[in-house]
Amino acid sequence: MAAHLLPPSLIMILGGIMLAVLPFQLRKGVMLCLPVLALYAVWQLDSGDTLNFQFMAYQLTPVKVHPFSHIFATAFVLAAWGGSFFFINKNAPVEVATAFTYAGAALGVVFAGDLLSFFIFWELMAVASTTLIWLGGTPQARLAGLRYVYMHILSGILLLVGIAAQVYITGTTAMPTFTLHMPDTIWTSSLFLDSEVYTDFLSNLYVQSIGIWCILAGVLINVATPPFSAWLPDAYPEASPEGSIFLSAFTTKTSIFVLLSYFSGTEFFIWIGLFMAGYGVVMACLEKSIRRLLSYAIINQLGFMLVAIGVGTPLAEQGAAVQAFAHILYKTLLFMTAAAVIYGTGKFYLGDLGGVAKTQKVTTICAIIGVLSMGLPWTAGYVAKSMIASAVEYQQLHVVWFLLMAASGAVFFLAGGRYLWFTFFNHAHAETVENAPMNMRIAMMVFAFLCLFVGILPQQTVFALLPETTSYDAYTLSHIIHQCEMLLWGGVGLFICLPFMRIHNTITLDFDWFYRRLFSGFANLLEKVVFGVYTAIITALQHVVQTVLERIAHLTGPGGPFAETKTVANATLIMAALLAGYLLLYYYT
Amino acid sequence: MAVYAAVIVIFYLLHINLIAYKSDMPEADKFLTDHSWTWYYPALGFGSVLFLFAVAKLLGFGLKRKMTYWEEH
Repeated sequence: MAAHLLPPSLIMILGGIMLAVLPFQLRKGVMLCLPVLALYAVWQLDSGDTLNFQFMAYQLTPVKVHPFSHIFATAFVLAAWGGSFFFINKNAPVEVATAFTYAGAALGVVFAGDLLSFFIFWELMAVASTTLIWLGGTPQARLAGLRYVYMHILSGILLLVGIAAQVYITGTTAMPTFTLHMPDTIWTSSLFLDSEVYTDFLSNLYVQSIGIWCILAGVLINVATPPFSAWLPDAYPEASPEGSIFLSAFTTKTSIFVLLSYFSGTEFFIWIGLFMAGYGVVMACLEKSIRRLLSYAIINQLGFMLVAIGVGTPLAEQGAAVQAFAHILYKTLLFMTAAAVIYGTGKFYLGDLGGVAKTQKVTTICAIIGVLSMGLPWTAGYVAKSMIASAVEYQQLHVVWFLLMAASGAVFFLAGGRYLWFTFFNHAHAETVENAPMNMRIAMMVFAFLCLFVGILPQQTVFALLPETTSYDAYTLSHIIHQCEMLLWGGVGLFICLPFMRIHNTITLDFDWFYRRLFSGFANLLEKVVFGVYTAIITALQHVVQTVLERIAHLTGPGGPFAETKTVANATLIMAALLAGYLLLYYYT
Repeated sequence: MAVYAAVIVIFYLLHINLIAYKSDMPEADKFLTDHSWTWYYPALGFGSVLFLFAVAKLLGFGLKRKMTYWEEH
């Protein structure tokens, strides 16, 4: 193995396992060094580098540098470093080891060059993230972790079936660029009216694409695509506050990487993405738990990335990658601020918070920067969203552009604005608020700085990580003025809405209602019906058997006809009748 | 509030003067420099917040439950 091909995933996974057994003080140092070492390894890899070895009949490629590997891997390592620094003073070796394994597995997916390596890292990521949720340590965390497992088992099975079909059809485990066989008529009724088109579609679907569709379905579940979206706001907030920081960065963005690298230009992603963008805002607006609110904001932002991947032009692809990078930065920052608030107050519902700004000044400033990074000029999110909006605009997709901009403006205020106002500035509800420890404040400040730095100097930072140089300029006068105008007037909208935002602690039903209530209710009903039928059959059989036994007992028991004393003549007559009956039976058979 | 209103006015003035910077803009954006379109971005920002808030409020009637809902079911 060449020295420059040291797999970054291996550094994080093996280092993570080592962290579990190191003494506390030594662990602190190693926690901060490992991501730096992994980042060095990432940057040592050149485009097109591969590492291969033979395993049974297959050639495995655990390291292959894809066009967008660098930008995603860099963001992952930064998130891992930030998360580590944030909980460096927490003596939780298993949680730290799990978090690093999780980050390493995400890096593994980003650099996987064959389907088997990809699947192994994908599943390792699922196992590590589930463990991280369970390490939340509450009964709710245990149950949410179980629901998370069910969803990811479904995703994993679909992925495995898809990979098996793909290997069977192509005879190779190499990662291809998937092409979905979808006729132009899919969105029109002619698909269902024209039998020839329909048959052609079905045969293509079955013969060539069944594996690809299964892989796509498995990945889309991990992107939290509705109706499989509820696992994200259900599970992430149940991990420990520090665990949530890691969870917010990896699973969904790894899936975005997969879609971007292998499914770019798949048109129906645009509509899924738009739905996610709107759904994320609306649900975030209803949510009262700060970490669930931020989780719905993640779904909204993932919608932007999906739209860009669906558009599939070079600018759109770059926009999706930059959005993923920026999103990892500012969402990590926002989850850090939420963790700091929970640390300081012990509360996480908006109705129990308020006034935190008086005590946690650094947290407040960082939270403001995190929210502004969703779209204000000179922040990371603005650059990414401008790229995506421009890519959509250049393709003349006016409706998509309009809806995207509307969702962009609304999430800024209805998710970010609500989070800031009711957590930091509203009337104080929490009795005591402690300031966040120094390590947490430093981690937040570093990420706030990164959000601004990347936003101010995109050419020198995030654009340098893209596979091709881009001349895109987000800071044209028109862009800045239009964006500021939109946000300023969105702010007016928020001021009007604020009096109507009554913060009573409630929960909000999501798609999880179907499997937590409807399906479980249906299962209970089915169980009752099956149990009722079973009981009725058993009771009837018992009754029949009991009646027969009673009859036999009656016939043969004391006083029964067979127990009576017979005369020889009667006995002979009975025997003769039985013999005659037997003869007749024998004769006719 | 006064500062906020002042900033809005400043950006409005900047916007209506954007016509001077037409060469700076992508082709698809140029129609927005027409004076009759100065309402477009403010309306988009203001309208999207109000509209999606109203949608959320309406959905809230059907989707909100008390905190112990999942324990009870």
